[in-house]
Amino acid sequence: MIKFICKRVLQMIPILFAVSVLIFCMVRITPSDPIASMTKGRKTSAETRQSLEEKYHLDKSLPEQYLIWITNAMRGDLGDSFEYKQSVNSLIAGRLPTTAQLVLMSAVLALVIAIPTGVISAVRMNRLTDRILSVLTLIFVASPVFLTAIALMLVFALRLKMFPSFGSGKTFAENLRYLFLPSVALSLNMVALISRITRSNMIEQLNSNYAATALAKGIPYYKVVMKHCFKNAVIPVITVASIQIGTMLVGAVLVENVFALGGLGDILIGGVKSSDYPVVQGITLMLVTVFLLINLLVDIVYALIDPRIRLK
Amino acid sequence: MAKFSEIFWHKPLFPGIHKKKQEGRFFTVPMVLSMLFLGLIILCCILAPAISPYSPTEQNLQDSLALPSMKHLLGADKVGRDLLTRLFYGGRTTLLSAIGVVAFSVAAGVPLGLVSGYYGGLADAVIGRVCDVVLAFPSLLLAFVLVAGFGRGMFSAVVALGIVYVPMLARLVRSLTLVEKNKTYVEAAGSIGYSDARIMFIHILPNCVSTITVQITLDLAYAILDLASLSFLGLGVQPPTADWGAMLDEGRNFLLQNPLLALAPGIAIIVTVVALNICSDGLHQYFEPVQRKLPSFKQAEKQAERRKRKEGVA
Amino acid sequence: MAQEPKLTEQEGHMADEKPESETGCKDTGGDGAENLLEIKDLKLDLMSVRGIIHALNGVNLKIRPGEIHGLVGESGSGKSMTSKSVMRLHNEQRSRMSGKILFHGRDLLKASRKQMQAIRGGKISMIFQDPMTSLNPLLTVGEQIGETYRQHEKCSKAEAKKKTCEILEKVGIYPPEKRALQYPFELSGGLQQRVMIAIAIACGPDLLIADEPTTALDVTIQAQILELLKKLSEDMGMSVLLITHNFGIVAEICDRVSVMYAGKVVETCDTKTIFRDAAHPYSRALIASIPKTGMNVEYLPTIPGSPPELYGENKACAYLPRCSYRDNRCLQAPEMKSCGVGHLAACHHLQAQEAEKD
Repeated sequence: MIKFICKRVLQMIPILFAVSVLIFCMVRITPSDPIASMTKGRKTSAETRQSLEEKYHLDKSLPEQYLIWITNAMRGDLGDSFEYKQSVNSLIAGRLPTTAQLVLMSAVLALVIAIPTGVISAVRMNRLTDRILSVLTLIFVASPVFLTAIALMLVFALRLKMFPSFGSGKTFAENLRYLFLPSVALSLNMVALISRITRSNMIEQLNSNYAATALAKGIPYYKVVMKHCFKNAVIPVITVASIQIGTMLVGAVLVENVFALGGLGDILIGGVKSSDYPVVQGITLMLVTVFLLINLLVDIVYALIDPRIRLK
Repeated sequence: MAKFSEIFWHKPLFPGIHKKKQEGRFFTVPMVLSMLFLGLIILCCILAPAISPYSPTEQNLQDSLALPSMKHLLGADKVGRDLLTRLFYGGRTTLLSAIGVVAFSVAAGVPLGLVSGYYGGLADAVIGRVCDVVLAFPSLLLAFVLVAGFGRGMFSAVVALGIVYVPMLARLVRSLTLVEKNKTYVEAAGSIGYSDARIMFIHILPNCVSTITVQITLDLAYAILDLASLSFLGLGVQPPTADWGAMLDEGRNFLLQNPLLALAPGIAIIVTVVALNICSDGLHQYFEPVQRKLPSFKQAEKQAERRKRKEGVA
Repeated sequence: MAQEPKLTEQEGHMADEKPESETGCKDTGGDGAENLLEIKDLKLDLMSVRGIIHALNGVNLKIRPGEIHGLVGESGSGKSMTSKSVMRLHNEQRSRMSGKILFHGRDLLKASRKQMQAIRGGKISMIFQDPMTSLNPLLTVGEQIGETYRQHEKCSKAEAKKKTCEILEKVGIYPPEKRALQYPFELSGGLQQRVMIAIAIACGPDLLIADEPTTALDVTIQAQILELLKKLSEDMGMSVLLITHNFGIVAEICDRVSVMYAGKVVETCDTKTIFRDAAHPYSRALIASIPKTGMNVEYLPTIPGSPPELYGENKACAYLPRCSYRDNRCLQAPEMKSCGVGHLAACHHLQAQEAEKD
């Protein structure tokens, strides 16, 4: 088991390294002039230009720049933003809580809704309940996250005035109310996807031989579903869900944009638009790391639940 | 993933057409419906200059934020451009760029997958690791980074998404190639002395086409969604051109005045994506008719009786 | 010449009917005991993508208390379908049953869901062909056995644990305390099948249905499992319905045997009789195609043709296309007729064959 975890962690390191190189190169793929965007196109003296270039190490060669960035990043320093005149670390620190809470709330919401729906759909396969749920999931899979967000905002915030339509609260509790609609919007996509997968997994398990054995033992149907099939069906769903968390991290950018929550998404998109290299690099690297860590964590949880992996 | 057709028994629309083939019907009710919708949307987009009553860029401030009326069927936006017209033209941009994304990913992903599956070894390892790295990014995030590099605009958005879609397709083609590679016909082709390229593209590829087609249809749906997301964030098309995503972005500021400005392009996206999903699913059913909802005994007996009567008449 | 056999056959037909209707109970059991399980004219239709399959077309089967009854037939003849019907394990939406399944004189097809639950695993239990997939991979062996016991005999967890160890010992798994904590994938195929048997006998059932219990195992293990089944049957006075396509297994442990063809039982008799004087042409062809030591032939006899498709209605005898005795009477499917003590067969030509043999 410990060997398994070590192996997974070691596998992550080269991938992270490659990811950092990829990010660094991609951001610089077309030559643009960051100084110009920094100074908003105003004419600058050669002196200021040079001092700015020195400050951000833009005068050095690309490999050197990469080395400086990555060694600092490993120490936990992601550099200074061109645009905001402060460190990327402090930018992230200020905005991370909102984004993290949003993603967390929607992930919990999604799992709590999706798994029971999927199970019900599977048990009532081809009946009316299943058909209605299936049509709904099909629509939610096809509906882009920002559209769901806008529709929810229109109905519940602007028309019914049940929730605030934008902004975020100061404390965690206050945020619950501000973040409710955004997290619903963010989760619906995942709800649809996961309930579809749960359904098909569950149907497969219900048709399995061991389910027949359990029925032949005289175990009542609901108990066969809940005790025998449920665990077998849901374990693979966890893996899919962990990959979906990645989609959610990006979806959060869109939802934050709609509800003006002022999370990480705003500065990331701002950075992309204004060629703010350190911001784009830093936030992307952080999100990818978080994504990989979540996947790692899920793999470990998976191994803990499934004896076939745990005992090997 | 749960298949739509698992839930809705695909009834044949024209039972006569499928007399030879017992299974795997192409023209089923959901399939025909979705193809009708898709056809209609595509037709509207192609014929946009002919059927739209206004020009997509023509401003008319008198009609600013006009509500739906006979003059503007769906209303007009802030500078008085007709929404319906813009919807047609926006659809052109959206569909064309989505096709571009998929074309890019096919052009790169299929050869990569074939090479990686057919040769194995070093080529496979290198391609596999590169795919791993790209897949380490949460879907759209890589597209953000690429757009940051390429600069904003529809072209860079298309290329960025195309790159993001390559590894998935490459992996699919690789796994299909691995299956086909060990079949006798490949061995036979090799023993005749055909070149590797010929075996890959002329012998193996046609046998993978059906699965790839299903995936492409689905990718097209995802491409529409992802492109809309990029445009919505202002990283895709730049004004005055607009696709459905950008229109949604413009329209959301006037939710209370005319919600259609945001909802109409949204609904257009949903309808197209749902139709594509059903098509992909229908194709899958057609190529591999395994799971299908079974009729009830009553239905089956009725059908059998009808068949008997028909035969009796004939 | 052509008319002669027909005449005798008709006479025989009438002669046969009498003893069957008058001394019916002689037929049902030479020892006079009541049947444990009696299947009467069981029909099963299944829904498939290609249409309705008439999987069982009137199965008649009687199982006496304490006997090991073999059910033989080629793949698709309906052996497993019969056993699944007894347990009522078919998907209710996709299947339709008619006829009677009398267990202790009670019709299982009319039993409520609750009653069926009590019978499954309690009075009748079942083991399947592939033990690997028939055990839940995520639960320990002990949990799966204890669960059965606790479902039927309300008792505490500790009691169930104790009982589980007892049962494991009974099926020859040592050391039971340690094995009970293992997961199915940690056991070999033979041990997995023993666990399946342990689950099946946990509540001391009256009837154990074994659906090809040794097909997935290698030959040495096969013998051990059969030995175990025989021993358990003797010790517990439990009847076993053993489904197999292997006559070797039948010869080894079965008391009586039924042969199935195309969804029907075509012959029932005791094990000795089937090897010496099988009455139905199909059974005889099957026996003839068993390789024997000292056989000195170029080719092993086979049955020409293939079993019929079970779609659509068929009133004729299902074996007609492959039978060398066929004539016009075979267009009407034959009933089961007595042709000896405890020996039933469904064929119009029993007499003709007898004559031929002598």
